[in-house]
Amino acid sequence: MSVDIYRRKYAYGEDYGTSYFKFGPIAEKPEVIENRGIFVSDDESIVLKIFGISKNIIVGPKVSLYLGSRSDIARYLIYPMKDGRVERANERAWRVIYEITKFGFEKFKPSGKEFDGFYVTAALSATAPDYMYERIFDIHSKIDEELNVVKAVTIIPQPLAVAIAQKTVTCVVVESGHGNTQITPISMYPIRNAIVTLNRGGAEADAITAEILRDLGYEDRAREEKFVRTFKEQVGLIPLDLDEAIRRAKEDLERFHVVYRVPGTRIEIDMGDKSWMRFLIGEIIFNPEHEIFESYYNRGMSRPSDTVVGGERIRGTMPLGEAIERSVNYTPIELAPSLFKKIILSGGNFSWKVPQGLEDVAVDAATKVRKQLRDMEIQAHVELARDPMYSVWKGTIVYSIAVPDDYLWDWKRKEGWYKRGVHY
Amino acid sequence: MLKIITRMNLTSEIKSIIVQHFISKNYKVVSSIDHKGITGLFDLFFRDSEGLTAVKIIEEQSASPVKMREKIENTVVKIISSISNLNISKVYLVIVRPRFSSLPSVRFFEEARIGLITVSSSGEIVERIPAKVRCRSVSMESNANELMLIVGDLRTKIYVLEERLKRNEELLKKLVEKVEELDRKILRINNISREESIGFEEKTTINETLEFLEDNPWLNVLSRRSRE
Repeated sequence: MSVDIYRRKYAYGEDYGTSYFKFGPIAEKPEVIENRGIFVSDDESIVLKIFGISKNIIVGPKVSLYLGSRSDIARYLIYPMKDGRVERANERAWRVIYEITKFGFEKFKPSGKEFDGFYVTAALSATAPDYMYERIFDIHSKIDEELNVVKAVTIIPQPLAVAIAQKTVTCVVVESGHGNTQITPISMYPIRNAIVTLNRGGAEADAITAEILRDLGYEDRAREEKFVRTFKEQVGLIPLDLDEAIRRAKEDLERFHVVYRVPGTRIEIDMGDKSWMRFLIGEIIFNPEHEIFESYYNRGMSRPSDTVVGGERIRGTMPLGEAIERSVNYTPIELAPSLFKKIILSGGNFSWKVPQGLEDVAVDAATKVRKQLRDMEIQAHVELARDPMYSVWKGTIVYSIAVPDDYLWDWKRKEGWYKRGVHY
Repeated sequence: MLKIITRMNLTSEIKSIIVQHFISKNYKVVSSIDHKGITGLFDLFFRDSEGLTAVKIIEEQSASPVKMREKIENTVVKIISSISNLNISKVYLVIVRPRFSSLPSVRFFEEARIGLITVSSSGEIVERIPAKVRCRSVSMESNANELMLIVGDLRTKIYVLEERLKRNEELLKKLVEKVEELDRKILRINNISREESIGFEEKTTINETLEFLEDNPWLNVLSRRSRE
């Protein structure tokens, strides 16, 4: 079997998201487990051995079975990643990463004789530091020692994977996750020195949602993370223009009025004449600098902190359109028009839809960003990633299939195969 | 007395006609003026009860109406700026063989307080706009300045529009060339992709119909990685 045919058959992708780990060989879609693990004991326990549990750490769907087993659950249930990063010295977190990676290979290892290991492409955050690359390579080489399942492994940034899945060679990928939003221009390669990271994401939308629940008199609900997130996703709206949206919502209370009901319960939140606040939830992702948020910051809600790109300070509250323009400005000038022709939005924070009847004030994320750029006299084509849940993983599969076998890992380029027999 | 004005004797004939015109209106000819600056600027001088009257003659040539109008405007502006401190009570501009499309508006002359006289090719002389007596005062100077600014501003705007039009034409031409070049490139790339995808499919025996693999340009881009 030729190498190309072999890679096509045994391509394997991994998407290390903060909340979810998506993995699997070439297929329509990946398997998904939560990116977490639970330490069931501090050491090897004979009781566990009697019950056939040989590990002291559990990952995958079975984690939920152990959640009631410890009273001090917070200490033993580990979410290894925060904003796409694992702390360098957090060995427990790295242990979880090891186990979820191995979980995937154990699930999918073929039994055939011809199988000599997968060609694995793993996707990490665009700003993942070098030590994360080193640890991921190390994890895969160790797993290969145990299971003989990794013929070669490589790592690519998640925005590149999105661009690959979107079949777009020149574009700007905007990924907005829970803790941060990354803007990555791509032209056959990621343009690393033009990556702009904003320290804001879904967490900011959660924070304003919690404040809104407090204003509505639901202090107790405001403290429940999961409730806040679900409420945010259901009632949040993105305004084309916040001031105009609020004006119309206050003038026509009935049209914008919403009552949120928790599925399967009798719990409901009636926003009443404060339904206009729905627009704050969407707006904070795109423009936390709007003056309306000042009173919330004064109240104690965290203002997104600044970042530094190439020695230049980027305001954490910078409007998203401005941040995109800033990122493109760091690229060669002749590339800018091509980049503005394709801006791809990826991530859960861009998934708010436009309810019927509110099309005059509420928009989707692509329209919002397009308007922000148009206000800066930039004509841009903006679109949502077609399959936001799986686009990163799909991009890793394409990468595994296409990159030639003899393209070896280079730390300067940060590309290429880390191969059995060469690197480990 | 009508006389056809030929090119050879233009200036002296014209002057003669103009002198006759002013004499008929009880002006006296002033043959010499001490002030060197204004003798160079004007062609004839007269005097009446109101003081000194200066006359500038412009011959209409074959320049375009726009250029002719510019010349007349420039002459007026020059006159106004030169005589503000001089003891000249009236100024006339005499246009020989005028095309009326090349004349500035009546308002222009009135605001400049300059009279307009035309002389046709048959020698007929007509005072179209009477000159207003000039007062040597601050307001007259400011009127002159204002007029200069208006004319200058209009001229600048016309220039800017002309330049913009020229640039747009050049840009349009470049865009058309660029589109044609892109068309050619797309055609070339499509041909190459078709050839290479046929080659790629020959290497594999697995019929994958996964949507994210179909027609994905990254397969080609990434397959070239080691060759770059």
